[in-house]
Amino acid sequence: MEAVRTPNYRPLISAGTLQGVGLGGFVDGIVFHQLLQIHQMLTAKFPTRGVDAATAVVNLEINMFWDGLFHAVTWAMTIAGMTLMWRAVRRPDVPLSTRVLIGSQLLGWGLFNLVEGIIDHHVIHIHHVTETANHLVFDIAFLMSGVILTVFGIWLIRSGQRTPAPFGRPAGGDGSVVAPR
Amino acid sequence: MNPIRRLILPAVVAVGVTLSPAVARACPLCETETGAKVRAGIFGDDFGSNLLLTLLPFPVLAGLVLLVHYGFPNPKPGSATRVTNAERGDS
Repeated sequence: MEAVRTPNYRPLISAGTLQGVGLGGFVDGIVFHQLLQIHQMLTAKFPTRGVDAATAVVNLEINMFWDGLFHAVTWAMTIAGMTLMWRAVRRPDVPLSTRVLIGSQLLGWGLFNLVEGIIDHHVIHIHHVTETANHLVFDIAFLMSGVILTVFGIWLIRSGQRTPAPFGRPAGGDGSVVAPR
Repeated sequence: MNPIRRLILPAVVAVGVTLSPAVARACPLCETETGAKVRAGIFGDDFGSNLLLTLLPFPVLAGLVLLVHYGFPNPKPGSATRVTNAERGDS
């Protein structure tokens, strides 16, 4: 039997984008803050380089607190994205396209880099990618990564929308509950 | 009882134990001069402004996700995907 449905990609796109924002925040925290030990939250105000060791320890701890708060919110955004995705895959009108999902996640990651970069590095200057004399180069590279991720994400979403994908549907196919065995 | 509800009490106890003062006292810097400076740096007069600055990108990002949700065009109704039950995984 065949069925014709008008595909509604929006729930999957917004869920994936929210997940991408959260996961982009985690990449930022893990790669930059922890592994490379740069790009902490308030390093323009509480510098960790060019100061004596005792001050550096105090400032590192202060930055760690604000980093933790920042990443608590990225965690909440990831959970919100997962919740939205759970709702999306249970809808009968949402095609379960892998391309659209991955594209949405890349879009979210790109938006995170763009918004965080523009606001924190270029508008309010609470930190830069590196607190060095040539920080502008790294700040621009960070923004460019956001542009590339955003454009690639949108391309993947559009490409996924043109490719047939199976629809999500409620348990039982008709909304009925499947009893556990 | 719902299995998720069964996990609530152990989860609350685990969080409580993790955040308990006994564990916090294990903090190597808390009772030192450095610890006092850290607390003063975090919970100073500028706590509110630092909080605002730290969280500023998130309302903007949430607004952008809303824009993405409503702004991304769905395929036109004429381009509806035709799926069979087999493709949908029905047996």
